Formats: sequence, C-alpha cells, structure tokens
Amino acid sequence: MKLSHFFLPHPETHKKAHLLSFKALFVYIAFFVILSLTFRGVNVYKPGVLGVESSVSQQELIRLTNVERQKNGLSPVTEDQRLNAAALAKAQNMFEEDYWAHFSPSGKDPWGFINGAGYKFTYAGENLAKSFYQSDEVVKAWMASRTHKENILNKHYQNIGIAVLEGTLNGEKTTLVVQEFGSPVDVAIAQAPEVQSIQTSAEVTTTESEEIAEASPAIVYSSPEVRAQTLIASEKQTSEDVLSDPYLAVKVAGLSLLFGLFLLIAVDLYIVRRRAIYRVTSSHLPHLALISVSASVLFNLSPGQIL
Amino acid sequence: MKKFFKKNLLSNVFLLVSLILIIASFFYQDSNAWQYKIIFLTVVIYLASAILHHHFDKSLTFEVGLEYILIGALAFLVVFGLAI
Repeated sequence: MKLSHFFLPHPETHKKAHLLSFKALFVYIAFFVILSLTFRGVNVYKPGVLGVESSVSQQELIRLTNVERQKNGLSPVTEDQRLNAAALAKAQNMFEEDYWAHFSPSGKDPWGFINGAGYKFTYAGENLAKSFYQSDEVVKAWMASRTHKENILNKHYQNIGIAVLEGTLNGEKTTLVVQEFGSPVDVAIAQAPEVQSIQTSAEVTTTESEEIAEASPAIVYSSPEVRAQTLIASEKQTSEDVLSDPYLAVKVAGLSLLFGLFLLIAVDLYIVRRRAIYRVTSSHLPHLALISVSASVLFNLSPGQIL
Repeated sequence: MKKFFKKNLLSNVFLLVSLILIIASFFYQDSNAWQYKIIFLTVVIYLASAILHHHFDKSLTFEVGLEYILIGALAFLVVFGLAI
C-alpha cells in the first residue's frame, strides 16, 4: 500500500484517499469519544489533575464591571469588604459542597451569604463564573447573557464584592468567580424591617434565582487573616501542581483534525475535477463548508461557564 | 453556468448559510450557548440539504448518506467534546 494513497485519490480506481474512507471517519469519531470519556474518567478517579489555569483578577473584574456601567450611563459601584467576604464565603461553600449553582444542595442561598457577612441590603444580586482564562472574558460572557447583563447594569446597586478562588469542583481544578451586588439598607428603611423585606424580594426576582428564600445568616465566616491564608494556599497549590488543560487539548486536536480533513477534501476535489471523472459520491463543497463552520465554532468556544 | 447553479441549488444555499453562520459565530463569540446553537443548526441544515440534493439528483445511496452522517457527526462531536 503506497503512502500517497492515504492522502490522494487512487490513480486508477479513483477511490478516495484512505484518510477519507469510512473506516478513517469512524476512527476520528472514536478518537474524540474516547478523548472525552478519558477526561471525564480522570476527573472522577484523579480529581484536581485536569483544569484551567486562570489569570482572572478581582480588581480587574471590578474595573471592567464599572466600565460597562459607565458605558450605559450608570454610576460605578464601589467595592465593599462585606460583599467581598460574602462572595468568598459563597465560593468556599461551592467547593466544600461541590456544586455549581446559586443555591447549595444543603439549601444555602446567595442572600444568606450576603446577610451573613453583615451587609443588610435592599437590593442584591449574584453572578457566577468558572474556568475562564482572563478577566475580560468573564465580563464579556456576562454581558452576552441577558440576565447577567441586567445584574451588571442594575441602577439600584451601589456596592460590589468579588471573590476569585481556585479549587476542585466536580473533580476538575477550576477558578470560581463570585460577583455579589448590593445596595445597603438606609437608616429609614433599616428602622422598618417589613419595607426591607418587600424591596429585597422584588429585586431578587430580577436575578437568576428561581426561588426566593428569606435571607438569614447561614455560614460562619472566617477572619480576614484566615481568608488571606486560604487564598495564598490555593495559589501555592496551583503553582506546584502540574495542571493539564483538557479544553486546550480538545481544541488543538479538533482544529488539527478539521484542518487536515479540509485539506484532504480540497485535494480530492481538485484531482477529481482535473481528471474529469464522474464518481457517485457526496459533494465536496458542503463538507468544506461544514468543516469551516465547525472550526470557527470550536475556535470561538471558551471553557468558561456562567450562571 | 446557470445550469450548474440550478443543479446545485441546495448545495449553494448551504454554502451561503454556512458563510452567514461563520460570521454569526464570530459575532457571538462571547456566548457559548450561541456557539452550540450555531453548530447544531449547521449540521441539521447540512444533512437536510444533502439528502434533498441527492434525492432530486437520484444519487442518494447508502454510502453517500453514511458519508454525510459521519462527517456531520464528527463536526458535531469535535465541538461538543469541549463540553467535558
């Protein structure tokens, strides 16, 4: 078997190159199924080995959030240490209880974390993100989602708190971003708790939350020193570990395969036209078009997720 | 030329749709949800236009159909493999 037959149509029978045969297509499909299953298996049996190494910065996220607000004629939100603490407690709880949601499996809600940090609010909201490489990707993804955008561009919010925390979630090493917004209860409202309750509920309905639970302190917060130690420990652990990025591996493998297939089909089309032969086969151009769309989608996909 | 375009009408429509979807993919590059919608829509249109084209052309055989299905599945899997 000649090597050229793997890449070029047969000179006599005009059959397609071996790398475009049914067998080859089955092998490519099997390869991607096995690759995906392997990564899932590694996440289950060796948690924390695979993941995304992120360079998301808390201060950059606050700055970019305010840039978006100012673009839309809104006043910037100011950083509040209590909301930072609430966001950190939420992120720590997500790793502890191993969930990716606004509400924990044990029933903790975002408003409980905010109240628990000592921030009494009239309006509050929460955005979540994980596995993004850069800060600007996080804010862009939130702005591309209607509900998250509504949170960022909510005129009622005055304060912001963000936590960026690394850990292992569902077996995969990831960087969680928790963004908490709030407007504090003013003195007049604070003296009338029933008013606060109504306003809070009204605002909560505009967030991602599906259920509204009465906010109550639900978690014991560590001191700032302990929190700082947690962050430093997390950073140290990440820099020591050898982290494999499964998304990058799938992306590189996928784009390489699509590029190779594109070339093989294009060469096949050129040779068949040059030889002026008729072959009962599928059309080349739709394949090339589909591969191009698939490659552009794969190129633009991010491992990051928002909630 | 006119005959070629008439004969390959469905393929040409798919090429045009693909071009629009590639532009859409870059336009909505910050939204993964849109990327998944785009690839799903592309594969569906690709399979439908291919089957109709070969049906009208009277060249729809098992091998031809299977080739479209395999390439469609591959294009789909490569993208969804990223949703690990």
